[in-house]
Amino acid sequence: MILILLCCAYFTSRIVINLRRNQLSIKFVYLWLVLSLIGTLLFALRNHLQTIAQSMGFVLASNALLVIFISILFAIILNLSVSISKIEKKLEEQIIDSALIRSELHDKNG
Amino acid sequence: MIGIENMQGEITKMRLLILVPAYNEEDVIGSTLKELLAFDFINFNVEIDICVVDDGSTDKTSLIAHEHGVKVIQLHSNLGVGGAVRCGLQYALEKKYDLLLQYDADGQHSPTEIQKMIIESGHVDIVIGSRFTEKGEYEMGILRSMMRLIIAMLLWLACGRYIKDPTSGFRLYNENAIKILARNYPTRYLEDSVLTLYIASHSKLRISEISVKMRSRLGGQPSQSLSSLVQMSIMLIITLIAGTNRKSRN
Repeated sequence: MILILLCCAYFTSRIVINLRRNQLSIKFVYLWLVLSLIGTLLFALRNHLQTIAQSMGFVLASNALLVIFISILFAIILNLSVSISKIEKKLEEQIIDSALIRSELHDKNG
Repeated sequence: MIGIENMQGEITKMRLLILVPAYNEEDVIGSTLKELLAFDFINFNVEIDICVVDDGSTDKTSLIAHEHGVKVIQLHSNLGVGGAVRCGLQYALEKKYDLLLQYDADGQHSPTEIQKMIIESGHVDIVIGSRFTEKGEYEMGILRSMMRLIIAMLLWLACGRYIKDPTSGFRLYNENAIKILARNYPTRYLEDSVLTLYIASHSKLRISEISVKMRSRLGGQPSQSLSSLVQMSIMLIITLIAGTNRKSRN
């Protein structure tokens, strides 16, 4: 339990530090907040995890947790892939636009 | 005479932009431009400008192109042939060119083939200079040929039209095609040539393929290795199978 608490403290401090340094956009802070909420929820329900896992068809609570976390991880990866693709597209457009503007300026200035 | 009839009923010359996308082509760009500039376009009755889009080269490509007195647009980063062509299409759209000819910097294309492409563009929107419509001298490796065949088949399934040389980079676009493709032209290798046809087909653009003679590269390095060609082909196949929604967004 101490290990879990230490992990939580570490991640929270990292998120706050990155946010203060402007290295993490607020959009992704929400994502981490949701993750911590899920973590807190699971921590609060730790005594009922076995029952919940069995009701979901898992023999062990650890199996259910693993499946849940892997699914969350995949969802995050998909979300990030979409974000990166959008940024890549915008970047391409910016590169082309800036090349055309520079060429126009070059023509005007002779 | 090839031209456009204006409101007074006079025939005005069409404006053609020859777009040469180039990436690290310092060995060949000079001779390609020299050949283009020396070619006698007088009989064409078309006003011709040449524009080199330097796709973030790290060598002297831009400098050599500047020395030949042609228009040069320099991209800061390497986007791939598609990025350079998209940039050229946007330039052509801004400057109101009637036609845009994509012409390789590596010396594979010949200016003698341009006229028949211009004539063909009179009744279609995109003219593809094909290496395979007639038996020519152009030789392609077995793996590349197989990839081309698979891509052509998939494109036929996706668009209902069989194009023998979907990866040809010798193409002529008219005003309609320029308008539609300027914002939608895919930048990644292979997507730039093949998906463009998919987009064009779904945007109801008319495509025609005519036989042209192509030479082997005069120098420089091919933009993609064989392994990346295989990787890109697989990605392209997935994209075509997924029926990607890449219709015009204009």
